[in-house]
Amino acid sequence: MIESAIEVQSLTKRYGDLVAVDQLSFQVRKGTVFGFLGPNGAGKTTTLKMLACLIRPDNGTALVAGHNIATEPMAVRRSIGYVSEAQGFYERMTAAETLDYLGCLLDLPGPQRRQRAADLLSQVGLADRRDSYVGTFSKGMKQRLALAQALLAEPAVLLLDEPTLGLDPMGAKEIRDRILTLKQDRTVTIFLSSHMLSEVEAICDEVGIIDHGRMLAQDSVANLRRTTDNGMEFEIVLAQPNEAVVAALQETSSVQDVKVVDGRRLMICTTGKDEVRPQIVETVVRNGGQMLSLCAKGSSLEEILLQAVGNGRER
Amino acid sequence: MKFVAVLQKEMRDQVRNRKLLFAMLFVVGMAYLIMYTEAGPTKDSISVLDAFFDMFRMFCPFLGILMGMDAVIGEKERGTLELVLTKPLSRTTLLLGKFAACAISLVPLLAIELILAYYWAQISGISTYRWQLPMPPLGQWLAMVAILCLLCALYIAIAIFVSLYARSTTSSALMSMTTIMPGSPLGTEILKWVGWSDVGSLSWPYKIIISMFEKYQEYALTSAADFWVCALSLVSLTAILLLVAGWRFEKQDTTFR
Repeated sequence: MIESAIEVQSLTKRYGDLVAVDQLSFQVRKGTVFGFLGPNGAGKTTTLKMLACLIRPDNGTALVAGHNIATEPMAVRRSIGYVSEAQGFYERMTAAETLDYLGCLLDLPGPQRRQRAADLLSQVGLADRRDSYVGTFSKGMKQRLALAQALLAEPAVLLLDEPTLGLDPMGAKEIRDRILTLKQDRTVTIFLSSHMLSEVEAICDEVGIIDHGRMLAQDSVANLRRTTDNGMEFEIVLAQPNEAVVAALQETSSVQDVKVVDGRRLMICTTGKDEVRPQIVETVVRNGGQMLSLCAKGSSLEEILLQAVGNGRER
Repeated sequence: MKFVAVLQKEMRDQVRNRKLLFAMLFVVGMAYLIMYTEAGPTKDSISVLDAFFDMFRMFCPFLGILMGMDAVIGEKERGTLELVLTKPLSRTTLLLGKFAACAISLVPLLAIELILAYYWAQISGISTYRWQLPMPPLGQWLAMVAILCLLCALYIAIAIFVSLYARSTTSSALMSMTTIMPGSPLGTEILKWVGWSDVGSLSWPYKIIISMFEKYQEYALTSAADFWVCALSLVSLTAILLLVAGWRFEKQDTTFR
């Protein structure tokens, strides 16, 4: 049996007439990184806030680290770390004081609290700024501090809402690297909402696509690629230009289109979901072509997202 | 422990954002204004106590509001509320910690300055050469200090309650200020309107109801029994307001910036 770190059942949240989250159901396996994708206003932040017990669902239930968000909010809060898109901090407190205060709220004993704060500040590269007021920090430093405070209680589940939003490439990379380090430990389940699709693709084991508060698709990126209707795109490089190979490939049933890029390089679009690589290789060899490389380009996560959202809206 | 953590953090905040310094200067300024300008007692005044009470009764609610107006809305505006509310801290504890920090900062400050003003008025001889009025007994003065301190605490609680629902710190302050009116100018008018001119003769349930009115508070300074009714009513009202605020806050969906 696969244990779930997060189990959401028919979660619904309305703001007046607007249904922000609509009968949302999904599961996130323990120790994995789950990417939560969707356009603006899809319901991602509302879902995250419900999971963090900041707002109450109108209907449905959710278990976070085995605790019900409606009936055991304190236990949920003890099990999670939460980073919001633009985390606010007490500007007139130092980084060390901030972690100490939040550690107190987590019931961490004094010596353990101070040690943990020092370790985390060192891990996120803020050890030398521990006694500086948070008001003097850059946005990147604040996000690193946000990650440190979220890890204070060694949470079972880390909820990250756009943690790299508005950061420069270096700042975003630092946060991403830290998440990847956490991922390697496999002790914490990470629920990541992000618009940075390359980031989600690089970090996440599984993604969920949400729009209008409904889950449209949930699977690994590789499986989602397979299930899209786009087919696949391949790039092959021949030793020499060969018109017979191009003609033969164009006549192949599963090939939709062949583009010759610079004589020797061909871009091949296929139609179905079946494996067509052996067929391509055979066609090239049969027509006297010498293949130097064959590379599957596949659908990007952006294409998968756009298609899933488009299909969802058509329905 | 969490309550103490919130309390310490809030008190440190008040020192660092100079709110406490401002409150202290405000109280000193008021005392100076009353003692050395025509705003205070004059030889035509009925008593020193009445003049002091009238003035401080007007300013104390503002002080309470100043301390509590941004308790919740300020944190929402700065985005820090979700930082603490995602930790295992009950919202009631958060509110009580904030209230205690405001009250502990303000109430002793007010009490000490008013007691010092009492002795200064005697030592400097100002009551004799300027006001030409006798100073009231210390017990009566302390009763006034206690009522004013409780009034401050009540308005801190009111401001905290209002800040749960306000959309900005400014609107929180303005909304809280509207709650001053029923106590002071309106209260006297209401009492006149219902024909309760002799508040001392009312039975105690009525006295509890009118304990927020200036006229009854003034009367309570002259009667020990009424002082206790008034003081306990103000304490109860503050406690009820805080509990209701905590209960409402627990139920509230917190919206952020």
